[in-house]
Amino acid sequence: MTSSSSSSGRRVAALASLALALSATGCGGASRTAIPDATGAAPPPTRLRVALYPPQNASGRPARVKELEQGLELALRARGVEVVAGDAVRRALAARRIRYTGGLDRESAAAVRDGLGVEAVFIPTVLLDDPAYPPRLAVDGRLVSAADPPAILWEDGVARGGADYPGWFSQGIVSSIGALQGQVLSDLAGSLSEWLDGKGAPRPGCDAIRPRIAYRSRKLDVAGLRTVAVLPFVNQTTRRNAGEAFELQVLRELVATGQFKVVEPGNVRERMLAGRIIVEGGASLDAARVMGEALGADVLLAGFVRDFQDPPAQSGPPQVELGVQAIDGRTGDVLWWSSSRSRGDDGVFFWGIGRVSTAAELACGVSRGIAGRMAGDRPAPAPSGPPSGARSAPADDSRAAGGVGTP
Amino acid sequence: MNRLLRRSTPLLLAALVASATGCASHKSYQNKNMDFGSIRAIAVLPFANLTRDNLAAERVRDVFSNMLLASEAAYVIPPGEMNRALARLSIQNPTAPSADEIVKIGGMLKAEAVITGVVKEYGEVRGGSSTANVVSLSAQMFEAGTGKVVWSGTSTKGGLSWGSRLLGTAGGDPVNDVTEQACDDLLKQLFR
Repeated sequence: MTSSSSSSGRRVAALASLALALSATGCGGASRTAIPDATGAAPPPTRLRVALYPPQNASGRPARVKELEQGLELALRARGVEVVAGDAVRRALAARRIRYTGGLDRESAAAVRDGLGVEAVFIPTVLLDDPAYPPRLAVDGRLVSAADPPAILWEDGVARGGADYPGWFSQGIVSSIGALQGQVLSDLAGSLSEWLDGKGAPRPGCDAIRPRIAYRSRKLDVAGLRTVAVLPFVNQTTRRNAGEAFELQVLRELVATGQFKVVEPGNVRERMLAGRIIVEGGASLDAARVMGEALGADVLLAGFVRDFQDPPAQSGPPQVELGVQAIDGRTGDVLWWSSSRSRGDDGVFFWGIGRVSTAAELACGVSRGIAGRMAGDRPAPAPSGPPSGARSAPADDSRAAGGVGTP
Repeated sequence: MNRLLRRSTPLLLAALVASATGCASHKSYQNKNMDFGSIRAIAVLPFANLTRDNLAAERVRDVFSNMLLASEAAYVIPPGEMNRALARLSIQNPTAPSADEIVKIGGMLKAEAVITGVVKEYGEVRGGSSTANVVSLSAQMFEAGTGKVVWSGTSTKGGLSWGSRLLGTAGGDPVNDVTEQACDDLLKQLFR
């Protein structure tokens, strides 16, 4: 082989490796690689040991819960998170006869802490699982400390459609649900991993949609962290679990503002069951006072989901509509009242650019608009990871507020 | 005579067009003796629904209450508290309460006024090949101390425009925008 041919061979090899690297890293959001190689990612010694709960299905239709659970376990392990999952978790829950896995109350926290030796529980929720072309998937994840009382440490969500980033000549379209699942779960696990390392704040990529009409009391301007208990949202749609799906989005965005300390929904549920409180038509003053005292909450947030549609892909845009009221837990005064509504094609002017493909992403935008306005449009504090000494003392009040960086 | 007819024809046509398109005309009543400045808290009862949409009354009431509260003219009792009061007082038809019931509601909720409403139209209307959204509602305010009507208003917004009838277009404003316009119109009548 001549020197010129060997140099051209080297050039070809370099070009090929560059192309490979480009295809692996992915140009644009749609072609992100799936689960990264786990070999190089050694878990840092301060990381929490996490139990992975079976995913909740809030999609209103059958979902591939088992596959998603396995995929999430792999994705978390690949990111170096120490996970206890599958049969071990189920056995521990069955031993204490715990059936509710949508949140963590004191009893469940004690069960997983003693039975599995974990410091936190990862609670995933499937908001949409549509394998039809183009596939769409939306998953929310919440990390709750297994302390007494349990507190939200971190929450994030990823909602994506296979045709969100079509790219040139539709090369970016993801046509298989498996590939999309890899991207979504990898992003979710990556977000948690970054937060555990103190590198980034959980913040799903959606634009804030401001409420159309809103009342905001000046009492919300009073300095200091407010404790908010989000009551179960009333579902006025025909879709099952729309209330839970929207509630998680609002909860996440409230946590992300860094201005509110949000009570874990498992705690709220436990207190409501204990007090036999039903909020069918909204929270009454009595209910607000009882819940406020029991949970130590300054603000009670009630919501009414009037629309949460995820029509089959290409048959129409998703739509969401939400009414939210916040009541002072001590005086019963209305602190916030808003009405929000949005459609997936609201921001489209031509060629479908700016179209939102899932109701979960729309709900994320609506929730961000509400949370941001409630917080007085103050910027979120700088991101930080879990508090120091998380292993030894997983429960303290400063941490509860903060998944996103309360010092 | 012919000259007079020729001169008056454009005027007559203009009058006809104006009456056909329906110049926004709303009739409202306001009690002249009522001191509206004394009202600090208002209870908005569930609206009666005369439409096919089951949630129409709930949606319109939410928008109306929210806009009333956002105006900061008065405090609006939260719906959860209102529902509790209705359940405690065992009011059979909260959309059309009697004067006694209004006094009881006002006393229990410590509200100076009570508002009831009726949603008459909500959603799409058709005219030939053209469609548009329309919202029609009316509301009444009662003085909680006496149970007497102190204000009443009605508003209709949206619907088919002359242009859409002519061109056969579909759409118009989204129903939520039309709802906000109608509620805004009612509040303007109230604060007139």
